[in-house]
Amino acid sequence: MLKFPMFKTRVPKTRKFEISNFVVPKKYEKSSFGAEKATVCALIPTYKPGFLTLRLVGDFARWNPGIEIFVIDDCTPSGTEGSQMVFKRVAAVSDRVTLLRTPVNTLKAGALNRGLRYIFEERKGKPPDVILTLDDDVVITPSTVKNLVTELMSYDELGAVCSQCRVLNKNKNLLTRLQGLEYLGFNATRLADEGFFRGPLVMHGMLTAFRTAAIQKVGGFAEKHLIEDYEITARLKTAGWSVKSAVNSDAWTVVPETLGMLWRQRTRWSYGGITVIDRVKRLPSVMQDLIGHGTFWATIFTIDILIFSILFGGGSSISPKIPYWIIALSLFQFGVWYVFQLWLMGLYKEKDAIDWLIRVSIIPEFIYANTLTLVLVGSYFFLFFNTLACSVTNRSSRAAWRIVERGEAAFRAFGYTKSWGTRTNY
Amino acid sequence: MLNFNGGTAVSGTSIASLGLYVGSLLLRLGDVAIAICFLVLTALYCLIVITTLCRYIINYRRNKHLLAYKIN
Repeated sequence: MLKFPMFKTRVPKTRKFEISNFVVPKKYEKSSFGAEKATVCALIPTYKPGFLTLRLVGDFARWNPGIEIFVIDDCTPSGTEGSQMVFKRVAAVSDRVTLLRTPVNTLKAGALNRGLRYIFEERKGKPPDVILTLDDDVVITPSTVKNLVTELMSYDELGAVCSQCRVLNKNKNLLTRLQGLEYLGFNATRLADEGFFRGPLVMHGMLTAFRTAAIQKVGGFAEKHLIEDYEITARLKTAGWSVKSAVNSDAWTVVPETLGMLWRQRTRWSYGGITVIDRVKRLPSVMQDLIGHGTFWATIFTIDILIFSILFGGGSSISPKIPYWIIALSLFQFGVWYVFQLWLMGLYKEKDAIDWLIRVSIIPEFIYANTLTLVLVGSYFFLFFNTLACSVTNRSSRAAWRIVERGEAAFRAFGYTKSWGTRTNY
Repeated sequence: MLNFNGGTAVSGTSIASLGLYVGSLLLRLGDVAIAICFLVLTALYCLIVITTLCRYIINYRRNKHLLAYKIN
């Protein structure tokens, strides 16, 4: 982690994690600080930027007067003419836009840290109250940033607030439509997690506002991490900060349009999530993930018992009421969740008849969710493999090394690797 | 439907199809170990779904004044 000069950094006193928050989420107390007084800087890391980056910087500068924008070129090769043109036009958008460049390609977290170092060490004047981090292909509205900053500065306990995630290329094909519906669920989950074990699991990298004191306290972003946004969220929560999403701050992003790109993105999310749990210092900071993994393994365990019982014969007889209870509970939860999913469509502003058809019919989302569950299964296998590979040392035989190399190559072919970071174009 | 993608979202439909299948199977097999395990599992999933929905409803009401905005 980086070490930044500290400016009146104070972590607010927060209550300990409470079991009652499972049902009744904690309510944050309003701050006396006027959100409109907050000074703000934006960090936009980019690599081979395109039209969307130019549009983002232009919109951002036009709709948010007074906000400094730092576009950090993560060592885009000089041969990419289109991108060099974009950089020239970005620099000309406003005198509030500053172009920075990393000396070598450091991926997104490295580029963000380059921006943070500039703000804290090289830039003259007092650091801002709020630092925004954005992907370079995000589309915003005139009120997106204002609402985000207002939400963050309205509550002293908050270390970060993220925007709503919407899908820009939703109508491209069935896969993007499914992701549009999935992102609707992500936004709902974030709202449900507000005030639950210090807030949602991930303050996504797409668009998040960080309190400067919080980002100083945790020392910036972890470089060479698979998902630096989840990682920094976990550290913020461990340090005592809460996080939430702003329901009135919309932002659109481009999602993968092919199964291969989606698979690669999700393997990174999935295995990256496991590594965050592995390294987190306070497990309640990743409570939602613990519940997810816990129920997964509980399900695997019960399926194993079922298979064992079918293969080797049944045990003692049971009351017929129990099977009926299982069926009733399954139907009940399916019904409740299905009605909720249909109700959520009311909040989906971009929906059309095809989205309704997908949701009502269930089948496409059923196949989509089950396919992506395979990503998680693969992550566990990759974790198991890496654990075994760690035991291979210099004293191990050549055969052992060969097995490790072949294993790594096989996992890489399926999209699993330990050593890449976030790149906005996946 | 098993839905654990990203390790974050536990859908309410995650166990429903499995629960229905096992429930009907148990009516014929009647194995006590499976019955208890699946009863605990479906109850656990139900608990997660209900508590998540409770939190969502409470937070939705708390944030309702912000949801009245229009996208520019």
